[in-house]
Amino acid sequence: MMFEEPADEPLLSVEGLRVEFSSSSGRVHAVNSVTFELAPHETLGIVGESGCGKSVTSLAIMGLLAKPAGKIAGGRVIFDGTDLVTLKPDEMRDLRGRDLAMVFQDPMTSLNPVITIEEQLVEVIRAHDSKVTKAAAHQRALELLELVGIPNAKERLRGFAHQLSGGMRQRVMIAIALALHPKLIIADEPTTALDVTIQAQILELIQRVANETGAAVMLITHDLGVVAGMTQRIQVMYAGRIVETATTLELFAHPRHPYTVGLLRSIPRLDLGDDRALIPIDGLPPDMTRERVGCPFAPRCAWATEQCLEQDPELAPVTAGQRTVSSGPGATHRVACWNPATDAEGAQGAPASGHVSAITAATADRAAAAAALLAETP
Amino acid sequence: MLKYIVRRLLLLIPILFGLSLFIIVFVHALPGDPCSSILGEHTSPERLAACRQGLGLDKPLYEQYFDYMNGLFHGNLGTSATDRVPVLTEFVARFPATVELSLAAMAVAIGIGVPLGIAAAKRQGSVFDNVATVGSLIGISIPIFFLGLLLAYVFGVWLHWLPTAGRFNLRIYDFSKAGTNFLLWESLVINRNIPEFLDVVRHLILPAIALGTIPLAVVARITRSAVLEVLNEDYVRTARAKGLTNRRIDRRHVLRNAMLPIATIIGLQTGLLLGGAVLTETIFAWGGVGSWLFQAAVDKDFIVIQSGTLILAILFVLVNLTVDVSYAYLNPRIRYS
Repeated sequence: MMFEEPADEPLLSVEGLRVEFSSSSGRVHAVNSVTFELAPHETLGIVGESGCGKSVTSLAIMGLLAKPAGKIAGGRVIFDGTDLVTLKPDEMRDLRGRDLAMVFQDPMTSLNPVITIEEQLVEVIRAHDSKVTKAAAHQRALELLELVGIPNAKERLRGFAHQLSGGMRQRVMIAIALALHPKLIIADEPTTALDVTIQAQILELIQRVANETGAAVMLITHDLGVVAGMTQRIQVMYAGRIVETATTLELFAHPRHPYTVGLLRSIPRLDLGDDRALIPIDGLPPDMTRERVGCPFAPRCAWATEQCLEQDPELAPVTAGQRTVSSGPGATHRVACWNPATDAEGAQGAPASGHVSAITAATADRAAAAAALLAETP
Repeated sequence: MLKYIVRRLLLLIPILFGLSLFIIVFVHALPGDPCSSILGEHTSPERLAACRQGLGLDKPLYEQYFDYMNGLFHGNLGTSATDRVPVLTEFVARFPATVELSLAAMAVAIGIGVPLGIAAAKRQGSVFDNVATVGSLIGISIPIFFLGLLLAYVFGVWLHWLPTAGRFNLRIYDFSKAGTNFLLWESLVINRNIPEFLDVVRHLILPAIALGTIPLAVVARITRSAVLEVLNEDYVRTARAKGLTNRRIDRRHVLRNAMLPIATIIGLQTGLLLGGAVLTETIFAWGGVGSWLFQAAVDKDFIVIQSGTLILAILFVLVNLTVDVSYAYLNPRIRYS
């Protein structure tokens, strides 16, 4: 009798992942109970501003957290049936570069300046299979450079990183990532350091090679515009946790979390063709060294209620009256918010008139109390 | 590359002109002259004048300089005033001793300093790192004469483990086929005599440690900071993400890049050591260039000081040129043109 593996078995399943860094100013809780899944061949976008924990999450999955400061404090990372957190360093090393590959943000500094492009490609091939001959590895390196669209691949192999432009270097990084047909490619801000004209080419390339090789992609970015055309699903992170997740279409059409609404209203939209002003999100992300009470976004949130200041919302399916999407793995729209935005509020980028943010109210209360105190003093 | 080397060598000419002028002025600014050293204090003014005339010291300084430079262009480095030995002969006889001592000292410095620096960097902030850092500070600060005498006392006089003077044991060393004065090479390759070779090595150990301690400390410190810097580079993270073994990451990615500053400092230190180690050579009765130049300075032997310094300056420039050329190999971003 044959058992077929269920089609919706996730490739990657992160459960309650917590990452901490010890620093001189205390322990930084960089990632707090992050849980998500990634299906084989899926392209997932992880979006959030600097310091929200998106890069740290990817480094934790890769086992590349800066030691000894950073460590996984809890949770599991099940990749292809194995818990990566409990793997021995050597087993993890063997997975890296073979099944798990990564493309980094800055191609100008991510390639070794003093060894040839060929050696940097060949070493990853031979690191995981010492039986590959030099000639075969060379041939494969050549194919890879051609696959990622580098002209004069033969000559480029003999060259060094400094002889290539930023876009070409990122192509080399992608070639390195693809070398052993990884099941998952994590691309951490792969286009941030590149010219705008090159960005689209690199994103297209990642999408094309992922399609050709069947690799799943985790695309990490602070730019919603980057993920819009490329991902099937988006996960929004804030202060080391996931605050909203939905299919890409759903998220853009019906953002529920005020932070997502803020992100969407802070990027220019040509397709809506109106005169809406860009609305920045006021304030700064919270200090991650402190223990927090309530929702981490509440201090910056126009929708905040009394409850938001006291209780931390869990990531939960979007409820009645709001939409849920049922097709595809993990497609359910989930949000961690006590007072999610409605479609109308999402469109205008602000809560419906009548709502007074708990933050504004608290500030007003304090101001009134101070005024009263001043009035009493003779 | 060849063009670059030729240009650097041509640059030697103005350097040597300037240096020769500089040296002759300063040497003659010293009180006394070779004749007062040769004839001693109790001599007659007539004999002194005759000696000076014989050495050409009675001429004006510019004439002496001209005569000296004229000699140089004819390949004549001059003759020592005190023992009438041509400078070149004496230099050729003594230089091998200095080369062996310098290379042995650099072997100590590199062989211990580089691994020490790497180990300290990889355990940054650990007890080992702190001990190594403090140790290298002591190594840089310790006076050579103190360290040399301490080593000679402990390992020679007290423990009788190692010889404390000279380069070989007369009863062991066979000079019949010899002549180059490169004793390590001679004993091993020409004489093929292992006990002889070991004897030479034993003589070399203490002076090499004494002379190598400062370079060792310098190399260890530079290596530590260079490795620390490279360890934080993005391409090292890329190497980890590729799943390479730690050994390969250290060798091909970390060390290969950290080698650039380390090579610079090794070149500079080697150049300095080749200039002769006056203190070490004196303590261990090592007949090298350092003790020779020191004696020449004591004797006011002008010609020896001038020519000896010039030769050493040329060597220093050549060593540095070698380092610069090795850069092109170590760092493909550098292309000399």
